[in-house]
Amino acid sequence: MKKIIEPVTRIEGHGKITVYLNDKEVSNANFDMYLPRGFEKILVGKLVEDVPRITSRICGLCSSAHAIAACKALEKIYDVTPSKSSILMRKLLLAGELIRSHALHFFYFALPDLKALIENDYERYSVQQFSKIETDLVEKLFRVIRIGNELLDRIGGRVPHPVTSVVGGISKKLTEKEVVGLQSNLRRGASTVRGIIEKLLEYMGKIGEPQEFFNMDETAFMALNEGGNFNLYEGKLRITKEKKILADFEPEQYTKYIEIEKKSQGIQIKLNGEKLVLTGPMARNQIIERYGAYEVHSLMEEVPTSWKESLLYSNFLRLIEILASIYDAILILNEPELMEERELPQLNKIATPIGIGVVEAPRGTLIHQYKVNTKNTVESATIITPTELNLPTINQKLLETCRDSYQNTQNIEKLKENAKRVIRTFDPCVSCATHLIVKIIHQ
Amino acid sequence: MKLKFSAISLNSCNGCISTLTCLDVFLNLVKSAEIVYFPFVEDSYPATIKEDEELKYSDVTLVEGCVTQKDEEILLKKLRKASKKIIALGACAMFGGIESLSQNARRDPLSKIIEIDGCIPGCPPPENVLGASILSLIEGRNLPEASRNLCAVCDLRPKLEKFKTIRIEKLQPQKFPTSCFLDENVLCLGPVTREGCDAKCIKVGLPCEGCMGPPNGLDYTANVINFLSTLELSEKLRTYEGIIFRLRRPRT
Repeated sequence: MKKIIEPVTRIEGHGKITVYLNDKEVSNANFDMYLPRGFEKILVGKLVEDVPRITSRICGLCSSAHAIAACKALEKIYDVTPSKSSILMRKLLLAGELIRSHALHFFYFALPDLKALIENDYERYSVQQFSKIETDLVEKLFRVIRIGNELLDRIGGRVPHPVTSVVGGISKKLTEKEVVGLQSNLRRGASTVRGIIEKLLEYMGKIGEPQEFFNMDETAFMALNEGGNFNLYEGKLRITKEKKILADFEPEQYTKYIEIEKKSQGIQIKLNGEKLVLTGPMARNQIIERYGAYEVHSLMEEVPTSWKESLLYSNFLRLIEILASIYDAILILNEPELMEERELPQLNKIATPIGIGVVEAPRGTLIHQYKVNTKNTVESATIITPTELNLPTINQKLLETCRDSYQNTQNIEKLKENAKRVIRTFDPCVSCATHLIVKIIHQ
Repeated sequence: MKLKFSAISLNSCNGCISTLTCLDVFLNLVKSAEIVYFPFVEDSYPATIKEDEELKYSDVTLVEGCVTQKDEEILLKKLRKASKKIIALGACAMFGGIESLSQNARRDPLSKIIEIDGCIPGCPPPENVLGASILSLIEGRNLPEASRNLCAVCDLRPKLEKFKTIRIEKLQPQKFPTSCFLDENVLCLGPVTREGCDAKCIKVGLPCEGCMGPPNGLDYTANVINFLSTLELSEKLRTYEGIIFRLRRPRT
């Protein structure tokens, strides 16, 4: 038995692949994340109003999602409802974060791999080489990153780690001037993103049929779903498999469908009889019916069928979600209610000691759960991140890829590159994974 | 000669490095520098090297995150040997960072393990500070410094009377502030925090939590404790470790 350990670069955080080789074939493969960060323990004893500022520090790419999920959970505990204006602001935050996070992923993590596929070699394409050969594309992608950044900065007050989302609502009030500025930025951004999508379609044509098929039949998908619409902030959670709805439930009911057991060495997840689950862009695409603007759907029709069955399709879907979020943000900035005066509600009495808050982070469904005591401090916190939910699926696909790659080429370097490409396509977020180890139990 | 540049993450959220990769000057840096190790955007990774192997030379190495385990300590020492300048990027690298709130885990700032050549403060570093720092590093100049506190640039600048007792009851205001937070019984660390962030949090209605750290040359913890001792904290806040140990927990 031979053991190959390969660190994975160009992902969020530190991770490594371990592949076990027999004489003839790959017997096992794992994606391991290290550096446990221990936020669930840190939060114990913290004052309720302090929680969102701390949770936003869990991740440098999806800090808004962590701050907002915490706010939603704690608002349930005090039975306070944020104003319409605050909710619209939070939706803008989630949109800005998705734009920034997906654009960073596409530019720095995915694009060099796609380029290597076109050239049909495994030579690495660095950002430096890229900015020389694809000047226009790089400039466009950078503009999109800046648009997400600007939206987050204006609404959240700081990028990353926004501060404005507090328990009860949003502390900041937008000015008319800011709204106008953001809108013109976003409108220009929409056409930039269309240009990038066209470029990716051109790439797809050059690559031909992608190899990374993704057997969707084995995988259960989960995402928030608000009457069939793309909505990162609210809705019901839905689990589907092979296009059939397995469960539709209020996020507060998640423990009935996702059983999570904390162990000293991490967590164990039990999923309603399902072994593999996936959240994130692929899952949202399976579950929601509408991305908002019609144009988004017509762009999706241009994708060759073979690509829609590939794991690499998720890279395209990230661009689609950027475009959909830009259109959503433009619409929200037009809503008169956005500018309404508001005062934050008082957090007087605890209505129920346990609160659950769920949002769609760029990488998928994010669950925060808190128990608060009468001193208004946190007694316990549970944070379930998309990467933890996705890990069993990531490992399954990693094993398949390593097996196929080794069988076809017998080349360990190629195996490593293929394996890393698959990991990056899932876009794991290692900083976010609040627990050390995730295990899945068959039911 | 091109600047040989590295950017490394230890235990962190990747927030400082991602801020760097979103900066306008980042593409300039990519064009004008030679990247040695930068695993967030390139395939070069120093963690694979063997114990007895040495790292490649860098003129400047930015390090984000704190030290939590032996592996990181070894890597950091190797980076020190292989780098002309090591710059602590952000609050975790400078002080230990937000995870200093955890009671038992090791969360060491870089300076506890190695000698460092400079800091870029903030959680995350504000874009203007980070951008100016990167330009300074490219041009071989010293990093921008700040000896003034945040009150010096704050619109709500306190009109505090001498010998007046400041009573603190809350960490957050109920309404958008029109006068200094301290006058409204809300804790703001602006008086003991260095300027440079443009009072971002205060402008959106929230007090300073001190993520930029103290003005040059001061110790984070001593600075905060000295300030808190001049205030009359409510009973609830007096025992609240979320303030004193927010970004730094001194350990023996």
